[in-house]
Amino acid sequence: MAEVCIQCGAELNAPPALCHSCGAIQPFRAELSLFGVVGLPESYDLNLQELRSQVLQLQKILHPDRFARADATTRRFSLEWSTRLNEALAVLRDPLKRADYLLQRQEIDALGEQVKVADPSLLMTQMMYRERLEDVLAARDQNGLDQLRGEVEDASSKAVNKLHILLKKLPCEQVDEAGSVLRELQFLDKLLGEIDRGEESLQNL
Amino acid sequence: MAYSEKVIDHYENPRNVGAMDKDDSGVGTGMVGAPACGDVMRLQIKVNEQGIIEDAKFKTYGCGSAIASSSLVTEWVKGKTLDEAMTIKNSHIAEELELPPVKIHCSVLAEDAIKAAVEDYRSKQGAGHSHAEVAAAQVAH
Repeated sequence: MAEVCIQCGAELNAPPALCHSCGAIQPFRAELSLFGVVGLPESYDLNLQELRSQVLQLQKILHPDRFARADATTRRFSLEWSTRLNEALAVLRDPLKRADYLLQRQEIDALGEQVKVADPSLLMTQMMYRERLEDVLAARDQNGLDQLRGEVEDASSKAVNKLHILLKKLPCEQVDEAGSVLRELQFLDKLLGEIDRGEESLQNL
Repeated sequence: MAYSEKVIDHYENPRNVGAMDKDDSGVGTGMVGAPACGDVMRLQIKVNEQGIIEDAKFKTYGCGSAIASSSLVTEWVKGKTLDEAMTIKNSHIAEELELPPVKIHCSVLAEDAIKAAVEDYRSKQGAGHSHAEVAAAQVAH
């Protein structure tokens, strides 16, 4: 059954926060996916510009500031939609979080706190990167740091490319493989954070 | 969140940091990682002819609790048999270091690392001559 506007009764199109006929704000729907809230099809391959402009456009209309004088129910709808849109932008624009979200939709928790990795080649590589980071920072070797960053960024893009292939068809059928690539990407992401912190420490001393 | 004094002590003065030759048949290496926090832990044991862990080294990239957990385990396993080392539980580590609930997973990582190191040593022994046999043969020559 199609959803209809609470005000004018017109059929609602995606994104469903606002009626396209009369512009009325609609009751928040917690069951919608982050893609559904933004009005984009569920896919790993996302046009980031489209995502951003869609969210900004909706936020302009739905922002709670615009409803400061509205009734309590409308204010609540505005706050709920607006909060969820922020979450959608934060999760969907990030290749790591987007992939994690898609797997979570299949009830796969690839990055949970309890999840541990024992893949020796992955761990060996991570250990080696960390040791190199420690060495270049100790030697205050900016070139070495730039080179390491380049390699880690390359490895990250390779992992993202693999995720594009594994998540091309949804629901994903190779969830174990996708999970392990996601975990690799998570390690690389944390490492890039450490490289950033190291870079700051080199510049501040 | 405040770290306990014991965690800070291990963090500031980690025991047994370093590496052993992972290709040495008398060395067992355990590596584990936790993607959620990006931690990577390597724990190595050197086992003598009597099957006693005579030395242990670790290298951990991660938070203070992960470093302290692995540092503590290297202290604990020295002088122990492999079977004794296998009985180390994350709850013992967490209790000794007074880890808060959000850091319990760091002690789990250390437990996994020592188990992996013992298993690595055993699989090396199983694959070829036992370390004791090789040592005996060397003595004989």
